[in-house]
Amino acid sequence: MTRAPLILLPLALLLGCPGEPAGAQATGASGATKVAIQCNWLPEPQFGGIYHAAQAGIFAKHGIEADVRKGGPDIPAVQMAAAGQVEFALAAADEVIRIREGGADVVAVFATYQTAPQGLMTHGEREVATLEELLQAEGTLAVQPGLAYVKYLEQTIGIKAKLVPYQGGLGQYMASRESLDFAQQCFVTSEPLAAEREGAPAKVFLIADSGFNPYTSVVITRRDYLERHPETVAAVVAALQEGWRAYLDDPSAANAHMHTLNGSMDVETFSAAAEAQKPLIDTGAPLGSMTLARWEELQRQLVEVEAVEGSGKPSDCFVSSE
Amino acid sequence: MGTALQLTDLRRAFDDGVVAVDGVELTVEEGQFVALLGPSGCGKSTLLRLIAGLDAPSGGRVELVGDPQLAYVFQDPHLLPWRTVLRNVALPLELRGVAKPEAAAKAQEALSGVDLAEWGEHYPAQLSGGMRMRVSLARALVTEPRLLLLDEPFGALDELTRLRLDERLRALWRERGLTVLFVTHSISEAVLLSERALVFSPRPARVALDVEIELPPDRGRAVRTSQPFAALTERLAQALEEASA
Amino acid sequence: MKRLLPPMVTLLAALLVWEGVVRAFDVGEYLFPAPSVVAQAAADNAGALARGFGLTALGALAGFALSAVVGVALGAALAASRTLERAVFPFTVFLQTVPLVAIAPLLVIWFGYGLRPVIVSAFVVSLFPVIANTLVGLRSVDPALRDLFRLYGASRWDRFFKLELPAALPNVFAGFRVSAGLAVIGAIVGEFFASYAGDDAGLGLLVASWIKQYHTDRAFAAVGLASLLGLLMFGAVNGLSQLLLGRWHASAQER
Repeated sequence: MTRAPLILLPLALLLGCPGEPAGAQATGASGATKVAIQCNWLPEPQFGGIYHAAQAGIFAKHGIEADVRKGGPDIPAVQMAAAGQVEFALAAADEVIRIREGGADVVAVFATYQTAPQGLMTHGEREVATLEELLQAEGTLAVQPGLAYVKYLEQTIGIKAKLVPYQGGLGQYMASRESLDFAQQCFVTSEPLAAEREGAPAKVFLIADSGFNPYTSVVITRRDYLERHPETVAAVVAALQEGWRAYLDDPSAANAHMHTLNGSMDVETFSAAAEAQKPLIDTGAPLGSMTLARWEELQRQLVEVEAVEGSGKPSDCFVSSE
Repeated sequence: MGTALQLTDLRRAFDDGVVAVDGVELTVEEGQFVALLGPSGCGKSTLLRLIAGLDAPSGGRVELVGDPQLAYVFQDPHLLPWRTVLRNVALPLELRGVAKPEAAAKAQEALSGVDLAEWGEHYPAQLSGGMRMRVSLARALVTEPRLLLLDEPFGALDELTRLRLDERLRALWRERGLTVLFVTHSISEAVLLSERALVFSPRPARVALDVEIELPPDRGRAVRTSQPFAALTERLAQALEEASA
Repeated sequence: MKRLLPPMVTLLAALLVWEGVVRAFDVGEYLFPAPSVVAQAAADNAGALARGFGLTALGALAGFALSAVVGVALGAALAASRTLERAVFPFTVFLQTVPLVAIAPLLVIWFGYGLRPVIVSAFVVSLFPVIANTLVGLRSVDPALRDLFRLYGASRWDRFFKLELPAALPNVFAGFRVSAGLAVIGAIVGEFFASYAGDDAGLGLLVASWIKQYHTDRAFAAVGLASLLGLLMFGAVNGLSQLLLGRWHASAQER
């Protein structure tokens, strides 16, 4: 960002540029570094390790005072991090590549899911056995507008169902119990479990099985922040690794805390989801680590379906904790 | 010539305790031009509205002999701004179910009667105050009423226009022989126009003086500047003063 | 044409300042694209934008037409009876305050996806100003004119169509002016929740979709078209007002 006369600072703030002068960092009461971590959804097991690290004092141990902020469908977590309004945010790997092409120099530092937990779910009684059959069947498919994997599926398998906006929760799903010809996006670890509890068990198909498998729930930050405060970023990553390890071993405390923040999911579902997501997170590789090969493949796929132009370098998208 | 109108012990009291009209007795012959004089706010307008049936009495009776066709001219022209002058004049006929072409023809005639024959296609907003009042008059006359009620119709106009309209009104009255009740607070206008002038006391309205206006039928300048005219004017003025005391 | 010059100059000046600021501060395209970039995006996506414009226009126009008819009818009904007005009017105010984003998912359950819930959404949002203004207009009729009509024994029908409705027309059009813009907003918000994707995507869905993909320039182009739609509808209402009121009411006359 070019240096501008001080009088234009209000305008700059209006345009979302960071209000902090370069080089400064906020410090908390005990001298710990304050950072904000903006989640991209409501508090759910997908952020379990983060909340655990905050609640159990793991961030504090690493000298970090973390403000974990809950997100939702209308909160632009990625843009907030790109504009510097928060130090860290959660995103999907494909979002990272896309916003980098849009001029935001953000970089991924920690990948929660090694296997993307996105899926498509439909009613258990419906006569479809595979992802292909689901996409080729007549009916409606509710997804948030603009998702990368939808483009991928459209191009590779083809989607016959009519796409409608996904409004969150299970409202549309439950309303279609009679007609059955409805499917929606989901995290395989949460919405299907909730559906089962509501007495409408679902069939779930993992998107990753189609070959499209971006890192998910990736923690990102601005490159200039990383370059100015590498120790802070390293501390945050270390805390996340510890937090996730602890959460995978025993999620009950963090789940109870998250449930108080997000009443739309009941405690049993929290617990079942935390269990179901373990194999997607803990695959033997170090928690949160990423490889260049995966990023390269993702960029290739996105270019193929014309979601991005491919002008960026995949290696610039991330830093590995190794 | 028979009785056109009979008021018996007429009374009008409002909810807030104001008594606008109290015990008015009046008989008007057919074809008479009667002026109703009185200070502002004395209840003359209320009396006129009671006669027109726009208000209901609290006591006494209003009798209109032979169920005559009524017409009313207000203090302001009250024309419909979205209608042309011609269609404004035609309105009373339309409301009574007369077919549009016939109503238009009669309206055109009425406009001619007030010297506005070429203004039919204009809108009220394009006319002066005096012209609008003439349209209002034409509208009142289009149904060929037998009883014409006017409530200070020319009060907002300048001297000259007022005089002209007074003369026109009297001419139309002479032509058609209708019964006219004309409310005014101008003594000279009352003497100029009417054959009979009633002076009312301040609220509640009661007849304080009922005098015949004995002047020649043609009330031109000569008559207006004559001694009898002045004498009548003086008499009415005195009565008005006494009634207001 | 001379009338269009002042706003065109203002628009041009605003666009130049916008372009200048974006370049001077090197603002990221994902955050706030420059007009030149938006224009390019519009050209590159003309097909989708045109289709979206058509669909949103359909939804907004149909919703507005509905609220015009229902609004005037309801306003007339409430004007006819003070009791009815007191009983019903507070609930029409509710129409103005209900947050559309809260009820939009319900609209999908009741009306499905596609054009129908969008029309309903536009209708719900744009109805209140018509009712309120019609009511005020009908109640503001000159009492002396009412007397006149009574004197001549006018029927209820005549009283409404020859006196009350024409007298209320300036107010009714004031209501329409507000309602037109709201109908566009209602249609767009409805589309966030109920529009099909792909070739059947309305402007609202295009905006949501492109923002999610960080194609902010395309999203701005779509938003610009939505504003244009609102402007066109407003202009149409004004034109109609000019036609019906031009000869006799100050509100529709040139100065």
